[in-house]
Amino acid sequence: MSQIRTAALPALARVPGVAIVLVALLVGFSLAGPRFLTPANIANILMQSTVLILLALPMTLIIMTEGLDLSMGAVLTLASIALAMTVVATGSPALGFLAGLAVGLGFGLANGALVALIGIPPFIATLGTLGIAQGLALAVTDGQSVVGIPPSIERVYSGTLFAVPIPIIIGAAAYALGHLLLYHTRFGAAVFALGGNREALRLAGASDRAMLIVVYAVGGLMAGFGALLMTARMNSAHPTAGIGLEFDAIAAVAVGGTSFERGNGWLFGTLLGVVAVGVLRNGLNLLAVPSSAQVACIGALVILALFIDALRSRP
Amino acid sequence: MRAGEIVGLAGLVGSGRSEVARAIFGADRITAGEIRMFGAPMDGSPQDSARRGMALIPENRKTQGLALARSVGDNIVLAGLRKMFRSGIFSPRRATAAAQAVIERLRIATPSPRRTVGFLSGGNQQKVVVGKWLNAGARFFIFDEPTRGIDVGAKAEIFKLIDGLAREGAAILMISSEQSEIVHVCDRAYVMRAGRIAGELARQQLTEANIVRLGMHQ
Repeated sequence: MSQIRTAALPALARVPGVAIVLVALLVGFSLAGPRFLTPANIANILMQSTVLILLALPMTLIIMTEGLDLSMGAVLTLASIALAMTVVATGSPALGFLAGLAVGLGFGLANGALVALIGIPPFIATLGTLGIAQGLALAVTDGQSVVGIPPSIERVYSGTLFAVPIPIIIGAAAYALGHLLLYHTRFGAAVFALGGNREALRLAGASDRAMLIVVYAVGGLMAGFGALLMTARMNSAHPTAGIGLEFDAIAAVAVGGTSFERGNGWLFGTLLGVVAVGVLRNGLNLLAVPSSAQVACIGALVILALFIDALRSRP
Repeated sequence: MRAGEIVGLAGLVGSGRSEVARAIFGADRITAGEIRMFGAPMDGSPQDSARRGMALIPENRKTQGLALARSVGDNIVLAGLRKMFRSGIFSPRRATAAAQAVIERLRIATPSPRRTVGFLSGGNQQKVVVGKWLNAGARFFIFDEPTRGIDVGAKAEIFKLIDGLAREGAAILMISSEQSEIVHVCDRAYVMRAGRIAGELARQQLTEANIVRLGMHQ
């Protein structure tokens, strides 16, 4: 069956599932209403995808090591609150930014240490840190938003540099750095091997534990950067702002074709996956679909993309 | 162990041969004693061993030696990453060139360095494990059951490879359960029994009967 299809459509057969899904979404939403395919809305989708790309890039690396980071959304929330509270208390945006990064990096290192040094399964370790970060975020704010942030923070989201919005520049820079890190550094080569066979990497004389810790630490640090964008976008910090972001990030990675075993990762696929998730959320918003139903749609999207890939990889 | 020498480590399964090999390399921690290489003590970690030119070709290449779902090229450069790319910058082109050189030198039967290693035959997989260490510039090779699960033709090739390494001045420690392999390949051999060295056999005494005699009680 699939061989007939492959013979008939040799070019299409090599197109990854995520690209097919993305094109289908774009066409579908364009036909569904006139407000989707406008320059302003496309720019909006890209702007709103910038927080997600910051999380999905390190999530790709983590998943390539056969790991998972469930704590990213909660860590981003806590980092956002640390940022806002520090800015409000000291009046210094730079100190606030550093506080957010420190929270992110601290949780990332903790995740890495729990997984690499103590050997706790990533699912459990990051579920634990998710609870800690979320609980702290609610406790220190008493469930209230942190407001009164100076406008300099807000300009990180609304400002432009050479007529390009700053979030787009941050997202593009993060992708470029991620690409260089994964494909053009010794560390990146080892990330492929971490998932491929960690024991073989260890017996090849590489410091597998240190590398695994770095992978999770990068995830936490990127959550810290994401907190800056998120706080700037909302001009405040909410103790529930990041809930579910890890779901979107994991979905984007999965839609993008990164395998959860054997170290097969594809960073560009993650970028497409992030855009696909962003397009889906935006299109459903325009159609006035409630956000709870959107989560169901993202779930279906993951399954559909992997289904297309699975159909084709059948012998 | 001396350069150019092939030393056998024989004994029954369970007599502690692999444990010795893993302890020498640092795959498992040693609790007593000291490992020295080129006269200098080792710190007993795989990193230190690999950096100083020691290579372990482990008993189970599928779980300990290879990332089966990765390419031949990825596996070949794995042990040499630190040596090849000192600055930390990875060049895919240099990695492919290095892999190609090893493929040609060991005559690994693969259409390209990008072939998934799991699709190769057992003998060629074993060559990839050895090639990984050649690329890393290893001088002392520990082979743990190098011919397990490999057909007869490939066995002969692996022995030729081991012999070639020794001729080029590498030191080799080979573990095997096949007495005939030890007798055929090694210059001398130690025989283990119940976790201890039961005796050493020099070239002239190296016969299957002597290995069996030392390996069993008395």
